Parts: sequence; structure tokens; C-alpha cells
Amino acid sequence: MDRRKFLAAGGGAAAVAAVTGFGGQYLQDKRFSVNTASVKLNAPAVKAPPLPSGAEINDIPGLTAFYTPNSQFYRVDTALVVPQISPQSWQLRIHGMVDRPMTLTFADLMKRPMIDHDVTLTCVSESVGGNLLGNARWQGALLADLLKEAGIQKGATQIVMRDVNGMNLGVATDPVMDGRASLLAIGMNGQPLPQEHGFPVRVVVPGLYGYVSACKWVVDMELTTFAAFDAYWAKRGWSQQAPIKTESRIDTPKGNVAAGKVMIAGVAWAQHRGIEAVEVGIDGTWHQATLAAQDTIDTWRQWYYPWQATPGNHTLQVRATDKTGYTQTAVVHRPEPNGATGYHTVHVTVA
Amino acid sequence: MSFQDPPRRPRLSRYPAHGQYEDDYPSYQHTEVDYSSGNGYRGSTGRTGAAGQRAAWDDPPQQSVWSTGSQRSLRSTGAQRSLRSTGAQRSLRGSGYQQSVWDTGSQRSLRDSGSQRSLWGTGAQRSVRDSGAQRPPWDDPPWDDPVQETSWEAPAQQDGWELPRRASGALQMISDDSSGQPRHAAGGERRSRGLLPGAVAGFLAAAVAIGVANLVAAFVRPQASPIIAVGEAFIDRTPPALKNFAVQKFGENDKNMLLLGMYVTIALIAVVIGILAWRRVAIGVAGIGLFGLFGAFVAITRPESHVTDVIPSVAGGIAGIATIVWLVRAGRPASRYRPRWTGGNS
Repeated sequence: MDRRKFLAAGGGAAAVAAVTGFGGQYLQDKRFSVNTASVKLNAPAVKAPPLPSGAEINDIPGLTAFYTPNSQFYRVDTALVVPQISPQSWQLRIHGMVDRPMTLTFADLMKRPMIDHDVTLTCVSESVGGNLLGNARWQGALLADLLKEAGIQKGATQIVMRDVNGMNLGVATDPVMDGRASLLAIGMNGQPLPQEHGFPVRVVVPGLYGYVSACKWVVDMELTTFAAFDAYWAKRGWSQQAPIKTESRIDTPKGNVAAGKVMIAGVAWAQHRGIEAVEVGIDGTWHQATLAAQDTIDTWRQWYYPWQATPGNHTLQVRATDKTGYTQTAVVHRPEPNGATGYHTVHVTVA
Repeated sequence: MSFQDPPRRPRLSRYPAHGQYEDDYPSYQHTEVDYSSGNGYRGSTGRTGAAGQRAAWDDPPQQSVWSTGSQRSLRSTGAQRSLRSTGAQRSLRGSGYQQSVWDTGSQRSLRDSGSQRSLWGTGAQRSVRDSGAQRPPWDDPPWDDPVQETSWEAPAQQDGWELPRRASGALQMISDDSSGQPRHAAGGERRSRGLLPGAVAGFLAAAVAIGVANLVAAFVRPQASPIIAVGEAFIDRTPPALKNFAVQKFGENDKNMLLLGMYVTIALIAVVIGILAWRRVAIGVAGIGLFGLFGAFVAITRPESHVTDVIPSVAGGIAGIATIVWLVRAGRPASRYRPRWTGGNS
């Protein structure tokens, strides 16, 4: 008697839970999701320079592609549900240490001259040999021009960027204003920004880790100083400023390989300094690797080294030197507080 | 047959002399009596209404039978239960299993353990306890139990009419039992009641709460959903090392892993709340209510939150409370809301 009643009640409760849960999810998607196709990218005022021949190597199996497809681009953020902002309602407020606080609509932004630029974004949580970085062609308006229009004041050292959820990232003013292609981006690899990557507008600053620059779903910029405000990650023990460290990675080979000619290949990056050279260490002996042609200094560079593999166990390492002459350090350090260091090391067995 | 509200009182009233046994029973001393008989006896007599059972008591007590291990094992088997409602069962009880009156206790326990309630903590576990079938005898020294002591002596001396008196005496022990402090069973046994249905009720209440909150969030904003609000609040409080671990280990799936962890945690807490609610529904109301309030608090303290962000959590909490109350009421006999044998049978 009780059991029957309980089973009926329990079944009813389970049905209610399922209907409300899944129905709620469906309604949330239906009511709040925004179609990115509503944004049409125009031809940019400044096209990216044609890719030098040999800048993109795609005939080595296992080597990371030069451009990362949008669907495979890494995503690290704190938004449990992807914010949905319609371009019609999007506004960017610029305030704080500026002479002329302003509010920018999406239509205003679209009227600004657009720039295409290739930038490799990197997450500060990228451990040595990890895959939390990706390269894309971004389209956007120069942030520096906008801030000059707003009358950025001399003492402003930090731009606190807030997304629609109140998440905030603090970027140093200097790298944004020093002439590099810091963008208020609306396009990624020729497409409107995907929802997960900040639709309709995100920030891309070459040379800085994402957590101090690459604000997605950005709606607010406050000019201030580093002394006055600790942004989200700075409050949690990460550095306030964090240029991307010179690093490199072996993509192939891994594990077991057959003896004979083996292509050792990977990528190296030192955004906004540029990669000058890559060396491959085979059992402690360093060899100069061949680099793909330079695209911009804001992207990674693919590299390879043909190796005559002999049977046995071997240790492969890689180290990069950037255009400032700095060779990446062998000191192993974890990602916190401002990026991991160390040589990527791969153990292979040749049979 | 309703075993929840048996016609106890009218039956007792037929035995005007029962009072004297109430006074007397502590004097009975016989440790050989199987505790289980007395144990099973409790709560039984008043509820056995059939004349056929009385006929069974008329049989001479056969101590040799009912004190044997075989008898005990028989009682503890499922086969015995299946015999419960049959004539064979009665004859068995009436003959060999002759603590007669005490046997009515086992009768009750068997009845309780019948198919109708067999899945239920309230029914099945209680019946197990009452019957003593699954409890090792050494757990309960018979000499601590006056009823059992009585039970041994009594059958030899009683005819069918006197046995019920003893039964009435034992009924006092039942009321003792109904006070919430089982005389025999350790507290743990009592606490273990309602484990499965309580867990199910708690789980479902949480599921309904989350579902309704999710539905309501579709009319407020997705970030107002308590799961999302609490999850994002958790992200904000994640130490860098854990954040790195999650990002590097799970990559794109770090958020799904967080949600999975949250759902598992909520389910575990809800199961505990449900089990407690089975004993005391107020605990369920308070537990689920606290869940809802917590969600509302977190939702409204998020950056960029709106006042309306409390609505999904509050709605979910109310739905969860309604569900836990509903399920406990549905699964638990109404009589268990009040003491069963104290203060009469009103």
C-alpha cells in the first residue's frame, strides 16, 4: 500500500524533475541564445599581410596546424554558462582615468576601421608541453585608437576590463598603447566570434597571457592604476602583469617509433618578440631545427628536425631563442604565478 | 487487511484481568525463553483479531519445538513469511511454535514483513527487528526482557483466555516501544530505517528543486540558476593550483567536471537529508529549505546579479520541500507520524 503510493509519488517527482530540468534547459537555450550569424564581417581596412610561403607547414604528420580551427581553439574562462549578448544590446563603456568617458555600441564599433591580424593566444595555465594555446586570424578595431579618443590620462597604468558577468581582467596600458595590434575583436578566422570565444566582442592583446588581456564578452573598460585595483586573477595570487614566456613544444614523435628517419617537429612561441631559433636536444646533444617562415612576431612558429633514429630509448628536448636573443630557461617552474618554464622533454623508444 | 490500524482496543477490553499480568510479569524469570518470541510478541496481541488465532493458543505449549534452533531458523526464512497468511502458518504457530501468545508477536512480525511492506524501511526493518529473526540472540539478553521471561512460563499455565492477558501486559511493553526507544533494538537499527526510500525521496526532492529552479531561471536569466550561481562562485574560490589542475587535466571539460562534482555532492547531501526526513519530515523541510536559501544567497551575491536572481532558487526550494513532504507522506504510513501505542488508539 505504502510502497505503491510511494512509487507513484516518486515516479511523479522524477517526471517533474525531468520535465522542468530539461524543459528549463531548452527554454534557456531558446530564450537566451544569440545567433552569431547576425554579425557580418566586412572586408578589413587593413588586411593581414599575405602569409609568407613556408610559414605554414602541414605535411608533417602530428605537427600542430598553423591556424587553429575555431572549434578546436582552447577555451579557459570562468563562465559556467556561455554569456549570450546580442550585438544590438551590446555596449562598451569606457570610463575611469579618461577625459571623455564614452559608450560604444556595436554599430559604432563596426564603423571603425577593422584590422586583420594573426595572433597566437596562450593561457597562463599552459604547462610545459601543454595545449592551452592556439593561433587565429583576428579581426577587430584598434583598442589604442579608441582609448586615445576617450582621452586616456597619463597616470593610467591599468585597464580593468569587465565582461557581462562582472568577471574582470586587468591589462597594462603600455602594451595596449605601444603600437602593437591590440584589438577589440569581432572576428576569428574569418567568422564572427563564436559564443565561447566572446561573441560579440573580445579583446586580443599580442604578447600577453590571456588572463591579463584576452577579455571575452567585454562590456566595460575602466582606466585605473595597478596600485588602485587588483583584478580577478591578481586577487588570487597571479601576477598583475604577465608577458608570454618564450617556450617551445615537441608535437611529434611520441612513444614508440620505428628506427630510421624520424621527423621531430613542433611549435615555438614568444609572442611580440618573435622566434629566432629552435634547437632540438637528442640525448643531450643540441641540433639546430629548421623553422617555418615568420608570419608575424605575434604568432608561434612551426619547426622540424629530421632525425636518424637508432634503436633504443632516447630523450628529446626542445628550446627556443626569441628575437631579443633570450633562450628559454631550463628551470622548471609551474604555471603560477605568471607562466610555466622548462624544456619540453619527450621520451621515445625506437625499435 | 489493514495492519496499520488494527482493532486493538476492543480486543483488549475483552480481558478485564489483564492488569494483573502487567503487574506480575516482571516476576517471571526464565532465561530459556527465546528472546525472539518475546520480541516478536511485542505489539502483537492486540492486533490479532481472528478467532482462529485464539484457537491456536489453545494448543498446549510445546517448548521443545519453539525453543529449538530449527524453529528460529524457520521463522527467519522467507518461506516462513510466505506461510504467514496461510492456514499452514497458523497451524504451525498453534502447534509447535507455542509461545502462543508470544507467538502472536511473531505472527505480527511475519505479517509486517509481508510483501506489502517488505521493501520499506519502516515496515521491513521494523518487522525484522520485531521478529528478531535476523538479530543474533546474544544481542539481546533475554533476562533483560520481562516480556520474554513471562513468555516462557506463561504458556505452560495458560489456557486460551489467559494468554491474551499476558498479551495485554506485553502491550505495555509495546507502548514502551512506541515511545521511540526500542527496548531490544540498538538505536542503530532504528536509525537505519527508511534508508532506501528516504534516500530516494531526498534524491528526487533535490532533482525537482534543481529542475524547477532551472525552469524558472529560463524566465529570469540562466546565470540565476542556483547550480550556475554556486558553480561560478566555486570557480571564484578555486585556488590557483586546483584551477591549473582542472584546466590541464580536463581541458575543455573542466566545467563539465565541476558540474558533475556539484551534482554528485548535492545528490549525496540530498540522500542524507532524505534519510533523516524519513524519520522526521521537518529535517527534510529544513534541509531542502537551506539548500534553496543558500542558492538564493549565492545567486544574489554574484557580481552583476539582479534582485530577481533569487527567484529560481526560492522556487526550486519550495518545490523541493513540497516534494520531500509529499514523498515521505506517500511512503510512510500516516500512523507513524504519531506515537502508535501511547495514549490510546485514537
